[in-house]
Amino acid sequence: MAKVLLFGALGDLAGWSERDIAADTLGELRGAVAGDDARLAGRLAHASTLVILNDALLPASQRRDDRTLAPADEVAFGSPVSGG
Amino acid sequence: MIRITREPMDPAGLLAAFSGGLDQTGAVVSFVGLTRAGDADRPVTGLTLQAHPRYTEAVMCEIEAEARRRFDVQEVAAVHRWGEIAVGEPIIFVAVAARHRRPAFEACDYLMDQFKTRAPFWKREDGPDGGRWIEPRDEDLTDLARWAEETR
Repeated sequence: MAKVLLFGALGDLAGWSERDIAADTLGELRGAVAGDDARLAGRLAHASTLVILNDALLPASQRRDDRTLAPADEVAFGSPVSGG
Repeated sequence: MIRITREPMDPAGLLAAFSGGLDQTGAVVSFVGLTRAGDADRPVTGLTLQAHPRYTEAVMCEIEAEARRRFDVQEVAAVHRWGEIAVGEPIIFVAVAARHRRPAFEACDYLMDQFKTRAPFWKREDGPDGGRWIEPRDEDLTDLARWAEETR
């Protein structure tokens, strides 16, 4: 089970901000988070979305659908930030 | 020292604690950012900020380290609030101590420009018509570019 956190507008779109989801890859995880919501799916895959794997930002080049996830991974998705 | 907190902050108390016992320091520059009410077109009753439990503070610590490399300063402190913040309440406190005033002013200015654009907080303006998530502004990027031009 990966722990998923959603920040900003993404949490509003999904209607939740934290959930445990079983997924072996990033693509599977994104699919499970979005469900049948095409708008959320688009946002999750968008280049401007922040993807934070555990403690660090995941570069766009490492966000392929086939990127494997460990059971204890925490994956956070956030809409673009405007700073503090 | 970087800290993010959900609790209200007391800038005067933070500044007093920061300034105490600095006998080699000639200048302390501090900044307090407040939650603004918005305007008639878009009234704002408060802000809601979300922070990542570790990544947000980690990025702020990187920014602090950059400021320490770039300017001749002795101490840096920044406290950033998250959660629900009412209009008029402090949202960020930054203080810089240095032997001389110029690097203290510059480092404080630099830190705020960097925090305002790069610190990963998800910010929603709450008003009578509901909430609106804030995306990056062009002005923020212009502020950031000031510091890039200097190093050319």
